[in-house]
Amino acid sequence: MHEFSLAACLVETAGELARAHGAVRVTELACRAGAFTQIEPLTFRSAFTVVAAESLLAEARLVLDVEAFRLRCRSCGVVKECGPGQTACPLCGSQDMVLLGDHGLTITSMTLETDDEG
Amino acid sequence: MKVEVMHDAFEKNRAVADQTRALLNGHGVRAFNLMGAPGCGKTALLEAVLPELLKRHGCAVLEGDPATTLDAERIAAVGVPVMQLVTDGCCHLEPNFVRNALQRLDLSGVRLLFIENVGNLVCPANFDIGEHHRLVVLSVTEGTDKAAKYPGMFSTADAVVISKTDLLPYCDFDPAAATRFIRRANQRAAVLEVSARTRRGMGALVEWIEGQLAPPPGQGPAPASAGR
Repeated sequence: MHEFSLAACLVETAGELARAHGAVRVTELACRAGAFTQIEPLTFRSAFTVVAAESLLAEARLVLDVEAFRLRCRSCGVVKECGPGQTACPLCGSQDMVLLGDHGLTITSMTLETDDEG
Repeated sequence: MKVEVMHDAFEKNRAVADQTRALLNGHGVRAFNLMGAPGCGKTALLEAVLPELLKRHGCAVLEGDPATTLDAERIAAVGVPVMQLVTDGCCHLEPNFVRNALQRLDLSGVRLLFIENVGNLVCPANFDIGEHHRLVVLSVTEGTDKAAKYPGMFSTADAVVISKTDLLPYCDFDPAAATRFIRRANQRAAVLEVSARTRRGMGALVEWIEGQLAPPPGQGPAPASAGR
């Protein structure tokens, strides 16, 4: 259940970022999760709702982009989106492959309300 | 108002982990985050490797578990300073657990700190806890395919220890195929086969650990490959 801890990181960081922009409320938060975080989107959304309660992000819509793993075949060079458990290159059948993806969790945009907007 | 940013959500965690690394660097300590599934043999590996390391280096251990002090008791029996971090059900160690524990652990004379994470092949991988190196343990009883199923964990390892190799004759574990799965997620990690029970491969593990030691403070930089 690392989704709860990751959601807590996200809410804390986004809250600070929003306050730095003078926000009183965040209405939308967009973030990108790297494939290697192995975030399960439904669990992450539930965790976000729980963790964000009583924060600036309590009513924020979460736009979550979870990166898919890609495999690069070291024999034929093809790069294909795939599940991490793919055992052979879909083109040449080689088992000599490298898994590609990001490890990060990145906030990409926020829609904010400030006091003067009401 | 919409604000476009590219902001790392792990920023605060990383700052805490960096504080820990700075503290450890100040004492000339190299820290190893020991991860793997429950029952893969992390504590047994420490019990086997610590007596050899203690001949030449001061060692200390932080033991992470959801409950009990059983592992800390095992490590204390080896004669190594140890502190149990009980996470109360949390499935991984967070950087502030380690930072807070180190404020209560005497680091004088310590060169090697082993932080045994909570047994889990998913959650601990996402959290930098202030270590310099990551050791992931995979036991032959878990099966050949673990690195394929849990690539996040294996992708950040500096070394993968295939443990319990004395049980190979009784398991359908294929070391070559397991290594292929590890290499898919991680092309740079050392892969070591050991048995804590027979001590086969233990010399290579000791050599790998000692190879990560930074020179004492003021005697030049750490090895280029060391440190995150």
